[in-house]
Amino acid sequence: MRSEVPFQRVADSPTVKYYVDWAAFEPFLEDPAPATGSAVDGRLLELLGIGVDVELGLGGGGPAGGAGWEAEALRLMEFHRGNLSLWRELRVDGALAVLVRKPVGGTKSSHLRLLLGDGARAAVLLLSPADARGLHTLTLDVEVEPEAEASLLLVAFDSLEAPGFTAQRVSVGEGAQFTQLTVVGRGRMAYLEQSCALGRGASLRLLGALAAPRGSRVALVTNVGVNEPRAAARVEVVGFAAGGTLVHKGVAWAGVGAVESSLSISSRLTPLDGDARVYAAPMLEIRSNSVAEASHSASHAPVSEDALFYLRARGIPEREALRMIVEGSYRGLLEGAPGAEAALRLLPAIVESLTAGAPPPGEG
Amino acid sequence: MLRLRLRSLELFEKLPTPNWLVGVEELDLEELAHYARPDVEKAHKWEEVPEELKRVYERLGLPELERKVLAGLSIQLESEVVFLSFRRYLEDKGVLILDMEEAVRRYPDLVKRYFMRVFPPSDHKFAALHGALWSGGAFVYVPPGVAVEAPVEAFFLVSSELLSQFEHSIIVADRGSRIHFIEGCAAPLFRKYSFHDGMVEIYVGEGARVKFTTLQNWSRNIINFNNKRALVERGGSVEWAEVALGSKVTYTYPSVILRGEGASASIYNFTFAKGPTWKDSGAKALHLAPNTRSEVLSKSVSLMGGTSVYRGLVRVARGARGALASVSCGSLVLDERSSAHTYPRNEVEEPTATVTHEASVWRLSEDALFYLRSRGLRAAEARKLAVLGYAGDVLEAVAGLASGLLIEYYAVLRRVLDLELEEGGYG
Repeated sequence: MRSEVPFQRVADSPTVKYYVDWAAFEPFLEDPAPATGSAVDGRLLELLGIGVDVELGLGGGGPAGGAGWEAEALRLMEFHRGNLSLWRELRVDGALAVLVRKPVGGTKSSHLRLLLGDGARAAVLLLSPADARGLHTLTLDVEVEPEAEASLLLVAFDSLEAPGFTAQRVSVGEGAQFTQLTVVGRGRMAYLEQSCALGRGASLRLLGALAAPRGSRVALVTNVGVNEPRAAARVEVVGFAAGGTLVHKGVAWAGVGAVESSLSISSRLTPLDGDARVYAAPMLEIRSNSVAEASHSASHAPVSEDALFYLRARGIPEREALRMIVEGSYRGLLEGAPGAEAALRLLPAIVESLTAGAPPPGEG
Repeated sequence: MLRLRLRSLELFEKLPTPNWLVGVEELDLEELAHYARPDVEKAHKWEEVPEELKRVYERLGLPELERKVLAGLSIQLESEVVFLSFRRYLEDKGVLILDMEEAVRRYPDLVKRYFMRVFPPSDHKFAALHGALWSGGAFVYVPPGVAVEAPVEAFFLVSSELLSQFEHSIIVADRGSRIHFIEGCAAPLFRKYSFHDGMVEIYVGEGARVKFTTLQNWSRNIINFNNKRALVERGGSVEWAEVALGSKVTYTYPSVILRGEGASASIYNFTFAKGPTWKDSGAKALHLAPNTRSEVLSKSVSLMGGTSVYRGLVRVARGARGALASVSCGSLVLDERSSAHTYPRNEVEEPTATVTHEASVWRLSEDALFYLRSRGLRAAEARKLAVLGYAGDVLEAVAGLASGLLIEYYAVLRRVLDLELEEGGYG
């Protein structure tokens, strides 16, 4: 392990720099004790209804490789490399679910490489008990084979006592179609970075359903780059915060080679009460006029009074109406996407955590 | 003032240089002249202006505009105001239009209440540099309930290379008053660069309305930093309108702090990045009170290797109930050497606020070009028309065409844009 972990670079996006609680990681980075056991939230696993094929616990699979890319969170990435104790590579052609266990104390760093063939439906589950006190860091390297059609479901319910760091790299091969659903339900400081590169004619959909109930801080960074002809990337994020903080930084860039390619980012984050904070920074960097379409949009609006009135006029109590609207927004994002069935089964639990203590809209 | 200058200098030395600045490598503060006294006396009538200088102003159309459109005109050459004239009836109503040095001397208490209050020198390194070295600029005070119907213009001219210009303008619109201020900037082409680091502070009282229009056409070797911020009280409104045509590098982000309930702001930007230039502009709106409104409309055109950047911030603080903010950015990239970037940030801490942001990067539509060509236009003419059509709404908003006030300025803008596009092979 490196003796000196670098400081966060100053040039980091303000969104991430200021609104990620880096201090939550500090005690672990300063004193990286080995993990003292691991745990999983069994209730969530049951709700998901997915059979686990591979478990990433505390040991097994030596550090034969590791993350070779740079994350925006330089300091965490450097720590991760030094602390890496578990490395797995899996080829997926059908359905496969990997469960990543959270340390109950100390630190654990693991690296997972997934090679997705045609028809692959992978799931990576980070289902931590709410009271686990260890730090986990995970690097997830996903490679989608050329001409393949594949999907990945990433579910992260992190601890409310300790932070988590996930850096993901996606490479979508020529002509391949890849959809990823990212569902984040809670976390003391759940920080996720996703960097995606697309090959010629490749198509990517990144869908993010984020929730920050009280005590949570969730930050998602999506970075999509295109420098090949006729590639298409779409990033859509829907999030609700009730007493917690939600951050989405979405970067989409296109180089001179991105002839007739298209890029879009959409970010809809809604604060449900007066203690909630939402921050969005959807960015575009377009380096030539060869791109067919590049757009981004972000909106933060209170839950629609009209929609609430409509539901209440039909005899539905206000809190139930709010639940229905929040759940409807998530469903609108997820439904129809490959691998969405399991994510939808988690929705009632997510919505419950968001609306249980929320005051009626407009009284934040 | 001396204390403020020394404190600013101290801050300048302490604050770090932002590490995201592009295109300012040649900026060497040691080789620049930070104060240059023009070799002419200040005039209040055109007859008093030396013939040679008058010819320059006539070429810029200033005497005609002053006669036909404006209520007041101030011209700054290098570091000092050399011409200042405004209508007698404004003086009778208690309106003050002064150059900043004179305002500091004659109304020190009034100036002290506003000078670098909304834009403190500690904000960033170049704000501190401005605080230490400012010279020139205009001070405008509009008393309660007074409406200055015709616009007032301040024109800034840099006529030497390796010169810095640090003008400081303050506009104070007291309760229920109204004013439209126009800022024009021009410089001939030099062999070496010059540096501009100006500042504008606007204080909008309760129910007052201020419109501030900037028409920037610096030459292609000016490094242009501009610091602009407005503080708006209850029921007041401010409109920033900015056209950035020239300069080598521009960094300017008109900002508003909506402090009073029901305050509102509109920010219109048009940026033209032609040739090897970096045009970094944007807008910031801070909503600190209930029922505040802000609207940002920004459009840019990049061609011949130019880069245009939109950098923006919308922040809604907790308690700003019912705040409404909308941001719309468009970027037109005309060739494969040019680029457009957008870096917006939205920070919302109030659940009843509505914030929307949308941005798109475009290229010229082949369908539109085909349509125009099928009606007999040459390819270059069709391209020019399509670009002017794309920029039309923001130019109209900038010139306030809806109110019919500034048709002269709109015509000048269109003509300058026409010429720039023709030079680039469009037209």
